[in-house]
Amino acid sequence: MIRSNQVWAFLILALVYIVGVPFIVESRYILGILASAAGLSIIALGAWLTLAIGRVNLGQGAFALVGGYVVAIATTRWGVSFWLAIVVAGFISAAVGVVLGLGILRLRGVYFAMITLSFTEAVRLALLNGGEFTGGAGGISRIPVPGELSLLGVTIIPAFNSVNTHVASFVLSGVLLALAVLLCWRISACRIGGVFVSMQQSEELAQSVGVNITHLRIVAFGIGSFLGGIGGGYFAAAQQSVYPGGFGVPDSVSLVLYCFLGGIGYVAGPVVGTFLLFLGFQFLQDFQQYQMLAYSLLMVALMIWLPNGVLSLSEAGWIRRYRSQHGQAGAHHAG
Amino acid sequence: MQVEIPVTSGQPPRDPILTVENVSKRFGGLTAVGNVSFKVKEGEIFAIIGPNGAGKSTLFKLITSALRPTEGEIVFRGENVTGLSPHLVAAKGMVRTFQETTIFRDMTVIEATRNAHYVTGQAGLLGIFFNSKAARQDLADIDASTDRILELLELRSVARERSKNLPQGRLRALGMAMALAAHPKLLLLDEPFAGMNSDETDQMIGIVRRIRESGVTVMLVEHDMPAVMRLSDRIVVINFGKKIAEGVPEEIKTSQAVIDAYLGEEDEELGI
Repeated sequence: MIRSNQVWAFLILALVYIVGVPFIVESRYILGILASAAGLSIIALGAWLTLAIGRVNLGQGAFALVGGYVVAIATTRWGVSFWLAIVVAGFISAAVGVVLGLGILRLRGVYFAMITLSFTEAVRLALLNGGEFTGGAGGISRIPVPGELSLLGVTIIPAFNSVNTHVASFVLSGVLLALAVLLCWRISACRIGGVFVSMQQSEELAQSVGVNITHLRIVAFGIGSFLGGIGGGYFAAAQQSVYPGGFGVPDSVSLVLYCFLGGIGYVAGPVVGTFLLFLGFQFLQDFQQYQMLAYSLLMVALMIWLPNGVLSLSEAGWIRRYRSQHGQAGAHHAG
Repeated sequence: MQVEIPVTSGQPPRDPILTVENVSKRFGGLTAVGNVSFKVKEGEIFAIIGPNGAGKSTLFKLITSALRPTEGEIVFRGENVTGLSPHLVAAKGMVRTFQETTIFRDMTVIEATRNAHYVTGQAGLLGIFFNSKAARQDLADIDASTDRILELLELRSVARERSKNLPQGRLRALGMAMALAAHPKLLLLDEPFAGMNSDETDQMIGIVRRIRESGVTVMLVEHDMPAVMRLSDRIVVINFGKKIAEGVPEEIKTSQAVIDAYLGEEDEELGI
């Protein structure tokens, strides 16, 4: 169950992050990195939802590409507002996910991982060879920054080029991430989340008590693809360009690793994992030639000492003892 | 002149809750189950027994729709459920248990039981997501039902234990708790006594009887003859995929066909 004070705590935290960080951080570069980490977190949350039903989804890069291209094509070719385009991007990605999922979700384990990985590559190649429609290898550039969003003549969101674009992008990434977290949090805390975990632990048993596993797998995968599309759509507008190599197989793999690093038992897992790894590597650019080595060692260490992710530290024995000594309630997590 | 309507004494005739009619399953040239028929009456404890490799497990899978029969029909509460998807069969009220390797490993006993209540709710997915009135009512119902089931299966004391840490006997009770969570009319138990010592067997017999008293018909597939003899109202014996006997425990014990089938096994296995 989500307690309302936890929701308030989350909303305040999100607000402090979204409003506070632009005041403290003046560097455009750092603001950009934080915004990218938030965007990637949204996509990683989609991968997390598929992990929640026990499927390693290496197709999130493809859904991000689909979302990015939908925004790119709709805004540059047809002059659609970004705000409409990103919603459409989410739903088109979800539709692609549902159609793909109908065929492949009965696969498990390494087979599902491999076929989604192939899908990432297939989408990249399709976009590369899409001719004028997708812009080929160069992709689509000069995507306009998000314009004004008004309702009944009242401006809800100002045009990004009328304010500090970098700050606006950062705020947008933060708001989208907060919404994505709320969505996943609610799913995992309500009975649907319980059923997802049931399916993760034994589909056969879940089915035996009446769960329509085919249907729920599609639901989880569809929402995951939706988040992939939203994240991709955000990047298209933030970077003002899309190209086939924008998200590839390595990105799809990283997105799943982010989830494992943060902890797949926690809604915040993919977000924490993404920020830790993505920011870590951005700030350690001098050591880039060692990136793969560090990555690998980190993952090995994680599997040995923290198989349930960084957030499982909150349930470690010494923290629990500390909490009980100080009379606080035990660690709570949704999921 | 008044016509006297004869009043039959005793229990009213009970309708069959499950009818297995001429069911066969062939794998290539091998007949695993051949032309088996029987009826399970509402409110009874019914057992399928047979020597190893007799086709009990296959028959079990055919009834629960994990396998589709080559021939024949499975009729549950007057409805043909042959070849229906397993989750629909469960939703109609026929729920099976598994042997204990199939569990929700990382859930506690109470979580696993609550989560197994999926079909009992009225709210749809969106209703659950937005916590509609129906969803809140469902949650209250599920809490009450979970409470009742844990009490019935003597699982209260281990409610907060993780499934993977439970001893075998409790694990099997948890399997039954999860099945009961789907509010079955007919509960199918897959070898509920396998590997149990006599104390655990006694406890399990008590649990199965209480489940029946709560209004659930029980059918079990079992190898442990003495326990079956003590517990069941009626028994079907199969061997080499065919039904060789049907009747109350006393009839089964003295049936020559059954004794022949079990020839070569220890006498005590028959419980004679």
